[in-house]
Amino acid sequence: MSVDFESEFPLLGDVISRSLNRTTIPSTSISSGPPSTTIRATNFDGKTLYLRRKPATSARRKLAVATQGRHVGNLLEMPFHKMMEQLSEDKARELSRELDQPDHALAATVGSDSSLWVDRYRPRTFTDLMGNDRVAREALEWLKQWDKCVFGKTSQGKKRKRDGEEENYDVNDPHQRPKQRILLLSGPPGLAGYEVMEINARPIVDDRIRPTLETGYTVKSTKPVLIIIDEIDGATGAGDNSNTFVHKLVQLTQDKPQKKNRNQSGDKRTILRPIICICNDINASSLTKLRPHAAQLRFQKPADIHTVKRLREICAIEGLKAETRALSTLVAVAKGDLRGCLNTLQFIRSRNEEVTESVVRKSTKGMKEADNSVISALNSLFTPMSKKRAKELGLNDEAEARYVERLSHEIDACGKDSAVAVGCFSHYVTLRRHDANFSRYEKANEWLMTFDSFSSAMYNDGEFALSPYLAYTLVPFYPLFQERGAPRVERSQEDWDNLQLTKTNEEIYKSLNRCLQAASTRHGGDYRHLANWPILQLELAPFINRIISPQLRPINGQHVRPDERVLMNRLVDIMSNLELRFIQERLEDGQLTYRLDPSSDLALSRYAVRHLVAQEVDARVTSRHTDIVEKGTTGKHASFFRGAKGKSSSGDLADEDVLRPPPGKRPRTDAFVADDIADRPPTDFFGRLILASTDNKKSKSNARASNRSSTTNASTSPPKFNIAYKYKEGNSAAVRKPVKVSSFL
Amino acid sequence: MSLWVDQYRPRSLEDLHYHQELSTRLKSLASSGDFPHMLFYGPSGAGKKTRITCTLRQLFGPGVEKLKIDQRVFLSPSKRKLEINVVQSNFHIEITPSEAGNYDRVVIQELLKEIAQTQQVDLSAKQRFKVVIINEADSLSRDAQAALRRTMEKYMSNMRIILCANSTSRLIAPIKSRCLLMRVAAPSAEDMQTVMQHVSRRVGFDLPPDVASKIIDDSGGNLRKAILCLEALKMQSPDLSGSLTIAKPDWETYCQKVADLIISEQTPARVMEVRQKFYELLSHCIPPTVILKTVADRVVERVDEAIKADVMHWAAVYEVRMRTGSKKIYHLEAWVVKVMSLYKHFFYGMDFD
Amino acid sequence: MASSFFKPQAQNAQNTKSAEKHADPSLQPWVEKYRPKTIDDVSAQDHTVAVLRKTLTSTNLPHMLFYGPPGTGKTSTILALARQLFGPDNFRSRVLELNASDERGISIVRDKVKNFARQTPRAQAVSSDGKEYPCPPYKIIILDEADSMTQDAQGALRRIMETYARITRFCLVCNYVTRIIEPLTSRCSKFRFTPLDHSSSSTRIAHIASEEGIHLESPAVDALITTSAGDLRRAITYLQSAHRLSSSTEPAIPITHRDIQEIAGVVPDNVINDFAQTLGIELDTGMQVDGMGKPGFDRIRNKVRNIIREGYSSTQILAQLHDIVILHPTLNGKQKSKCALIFAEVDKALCDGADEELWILEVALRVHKAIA
Repeated sequence: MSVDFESEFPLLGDVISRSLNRTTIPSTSISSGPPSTTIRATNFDGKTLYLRRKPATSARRKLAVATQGRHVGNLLEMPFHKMMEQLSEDKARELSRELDQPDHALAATVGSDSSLWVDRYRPRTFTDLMGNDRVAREALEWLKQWDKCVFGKTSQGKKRKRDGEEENYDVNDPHQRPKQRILLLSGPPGLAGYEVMEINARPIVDDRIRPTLETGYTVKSTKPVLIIIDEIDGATGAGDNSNTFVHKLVQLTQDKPQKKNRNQSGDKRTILRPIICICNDINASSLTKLRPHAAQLRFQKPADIHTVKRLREICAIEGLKAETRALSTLVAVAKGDLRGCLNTLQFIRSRNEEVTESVVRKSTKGMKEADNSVISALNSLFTPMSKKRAKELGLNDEAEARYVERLSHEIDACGKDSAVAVGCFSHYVTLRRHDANFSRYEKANEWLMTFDSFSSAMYNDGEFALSPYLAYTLVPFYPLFQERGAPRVERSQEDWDNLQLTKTNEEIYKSLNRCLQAASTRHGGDYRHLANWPILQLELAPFINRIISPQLRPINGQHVRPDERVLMNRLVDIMSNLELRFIQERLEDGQLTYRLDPSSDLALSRYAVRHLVAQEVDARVTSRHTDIVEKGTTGKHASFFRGAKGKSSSGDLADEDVLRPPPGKRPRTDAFVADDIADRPPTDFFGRLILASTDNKKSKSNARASNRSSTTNASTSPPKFNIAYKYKEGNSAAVRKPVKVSSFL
Repeated sequence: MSLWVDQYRPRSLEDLHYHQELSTRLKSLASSGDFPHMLFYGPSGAGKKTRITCTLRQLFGPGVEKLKIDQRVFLSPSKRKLEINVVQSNFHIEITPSEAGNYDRVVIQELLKEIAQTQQVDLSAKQRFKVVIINEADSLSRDAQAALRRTMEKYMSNMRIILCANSTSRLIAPIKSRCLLMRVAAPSAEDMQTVMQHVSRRVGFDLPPDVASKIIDDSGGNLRKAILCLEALKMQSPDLSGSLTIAKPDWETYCQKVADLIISEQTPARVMEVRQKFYELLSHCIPPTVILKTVADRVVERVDEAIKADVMHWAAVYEVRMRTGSKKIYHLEAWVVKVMSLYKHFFYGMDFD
Repeated sequence: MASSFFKPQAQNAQNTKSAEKHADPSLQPWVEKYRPKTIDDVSAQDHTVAVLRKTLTSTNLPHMLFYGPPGTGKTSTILALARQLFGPDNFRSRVLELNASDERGISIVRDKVKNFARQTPRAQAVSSDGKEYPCPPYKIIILDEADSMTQDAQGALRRIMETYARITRFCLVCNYVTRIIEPLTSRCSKFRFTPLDHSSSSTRIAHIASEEGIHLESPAVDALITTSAGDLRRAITYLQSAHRLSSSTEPAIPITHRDIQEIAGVVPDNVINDFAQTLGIELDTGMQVDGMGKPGFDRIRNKVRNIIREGYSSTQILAQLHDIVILHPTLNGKQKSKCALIFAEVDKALCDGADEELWILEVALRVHKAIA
């Protein structure tokens, strides 16, 4: 065992991991650029070096600067190599010291023959990584951003100690936690796993994520933890639980910003540790929720030449004779999957064979199916196999022409036939556009429909005997559409987006439905016949949109012609009955607008009308429940509203229903009881009577609007008194900027 | 105040404007004491529910209009929670079991059993039985219908069921034979004219007959739609004068745009464009069958007589496939491609012969 | 429900319930009220009745499988037989009846059916009405609507049938014998029930009408029989509904054949004939369709729209149109067979829940094309 180890090319990974585990000798890795001016490095002798650097903003530049600062040259690899050399010497020295102690780390790394090569040659540090320098550095960069949060708050002395233990980084790092709290690493199999384990080795890793996440943040008190969740794209397979797992993860990250805003950094219940997720397929459906919240890094497969080089090194260590040609064949067949290559090599080694091309061919049968993502299946459906690839797999022309089995296999192997079908559907229209009589398209659609009837028979009616045929229904896309040099298939989000949108709209209709039913209890069942499913979207929804947007002139509350007044009253009646509201919102360009709630309508015009109507509706609703408590704090009301909003058809009897205030309603500070604005003496924002001059009124209504909007703001973030009153005078946009109330006081 | 549709909805059998014969029948049945299970069927907007409510009032008096909504929770066999809204008064209960999707059988069984086993407590009630109204009965699964069949016999003594469906085709024969069938045909144009004049009189304005008939033409025998449309129109242009455009619902206009797109150009790019629009429509919860029908109707209006039948034929074929399939968009697009191809073949017929 | 079948309280409850039923005969469906009391009362199934009559005397009964279209007396026959074998007192303890509405998954077969099957029949109680019943030493389990049982449940039944053959007889009742698994059918002696012919239905209906004191015109009887198509249960139900309608008005109006048709959901003849003529089928109705000309697409479409608006059931339209075309005197065989294919296709589509308007239009257009 030790002999084996001695002869082995000294791996930096071993050195560092061992030093980490033993926590006696601090190790150094100057692999990335910590964002600061100096880098503190401690070598194996315990000597501390400071490497000077210029401050930089972007990760890439930082690195470049760092290397320049050290006068080693522009090439990134160079310093690493030097470091490695230095370290390997160090290690040799150190080894002699260490070997006489029983060492678990050694046992693990210095594998006996039984250990898998994959494990044995797993990179231990960042520097062991092949290819992907940039990506790996970005990952490290991201991790570095945590430093402040993870280590920054501990006392100075402790921190130093940890410095030594964990890694080397700059104390003065001014960065906050990164915005995205989860790092999502993705890449084809055989690549990702490799890359990440390296990060794995640095801080202490807790594999048991779930307990960690669920028991709260107890880990915080212990040593810094980096959570790594491997194969997170497999989370769907485990059923509901894992879905909630991803969901939980997202929640964990989402809760954070809010709490943090409120309570700058004193809040103890935030994630203070980085989370890294690893997946093969970044588009996996289970990850959809996670994606927006995570910093994403995609690993490309390293250039074959790097892989071959690495394999040769390993062969040398293992004493395996290998032809370079054979190795490159191996890499080509495996499509760069290093893990697969290593397994094959070990297999060959176990039979004491030399690595020749024929042996490689023999032992890689079946390996070609390793790559099985949806995208790759789609790509092979729409583009013919390249000559090179065919050669790599050792297929002759005839075998290549027999595509049905190959393709159906591939579709089967990726296991998501409906995703492949959606892919086909979204992609086929972009191909063969010069087909004059659409015959290809017709055929394609025919097959798609066959697929659909099969799969729905399968999933809806439980006819699982059909499943072997599913893949074949998609194969015809190959003869129909394959084209050399066709654009590569990109995952289309269209279908998914549509699904999401449908769900949102369904929710809107549901809430409208609830409103209708609630209204029906008040009116002897009046609205309930409109609440049924197809009637709702087909008849009620379009017409109600029209009914509540009459042709009123933009006017203000005091100047309403009698006929319009009638119209208006009716409108307000209907809206208040249906619990429809105009909710004030601010558009991106800062213009105020009213949105109909609950419903999505397109018309943004006629602000003034909506404004007026919104006021009246509120007035009407308010008048309905004047008998409820008048004096309540705004905050109390706000929470009350929010509570009520959720269950707007809780099934109370009619009278109780009426008492329910609408969401975001203005506070009852000024008595807004009168049914009709026209009958009421005009008041300004503070409740004082004002003269009925048009200008004033305008400002009044504006003020009222701002009042409303501000209280809405207040209700979303209750306790802090950072209510911003918007005071507007005239039409100039210049004065329409938010002003804090504190600036008046 | 309610929408006109509701506000001027007839409350009693005497107030109904059309199908007088049916009204008298219902009236005599309600007063005879031998009230059977009933099945009301007819197209949407013909007045089935209005008639049901009127019948209930005839049976129980105005008490049936005191409604409350209950949210009931049922457990599906796989322990999933199903939330169903139940509208009820002291005398009747109204459910829409299609809300429960595949588990409607559970809802039907549980709910009916519970109702059947509670006696009418109100001693002053006119009838000894309670009435259960099942809306959208034609969307009941076969399982649920089978369950209903037994229940209908078992609990005849203290419960009556009124089914409301658009068509009897999807109901199993045993259910049909256990119910008294009541066909409610869509009102004729004259009937609708009467009703709309009546509504306008009640509201207090004059409805020019030609405006009314325009609305009626658009409504396709759906009185509810017509009255909603009337109200929208009145809101939009209160004086009902000048050149009025009877606005169609947004989705209808949108469907017509899609049809125009299909007719005007037949290219893959256009297929993509149409697909986008279909996605849009589907995401607004417009039933795919309705989309297909509306678009097909419009396409048929604009193409040559020779291929009209084919367009409709393929619409029918793809519609039924769409029903059995699960990805509606595939079938919609397949139809579009088919129609485009038909259209091209028709125009360049010689080139392809 | 049936699990409490054996508890005495449940029996009492059942008894009171049935007593209640008898107290209010107007509520009782006539189908139940006029169910045959003995197998000799069963209409029209002479062959079956003859065979079964023998079993009454021999006390030996095979497992039985009754199949045939609905309303032909299958359930009535086995109930009547059981009643004659055991008498009213033993009936409850000796007969178990399960139908499709009851849960009949494999678990029910395993538990309930098996439990009942393996009980040794109790000794014959002295019958209360003084009559003598053969009361053979076995029990009868009636599985009504057996074709809707799952394959698994049927499989489970197989073993039970054999194991307890000594003390239990099974009677499977179904519409489609093909849906019963082969091992079960081979264990049973099969009885086919044929649709009732005109005369036996009319006798039965006349009997009921006279019992209920209804005056029925002969066109009304004909309407009943044709709309029910040999299904006596439907005929009786329609009669009861029609009676309800007619008797609810004061004074009672006589039942017309139009009433029956409306109750049965049948499309009136003039509507369907008009439709057929629009499609280009020539009918000798004496009614002249004006402005006939060439029936174009729009004309057909408007016609279909109107029919759908009237709310008629599409399956009914299809069935009636089918009759018109197939029985048409002048259309040739090729045209008819083309149409028949179309009807079959449309029927399938309607079964799958297709949109009615689209498919009625489809059938109209294609029939029109086939005939032209």
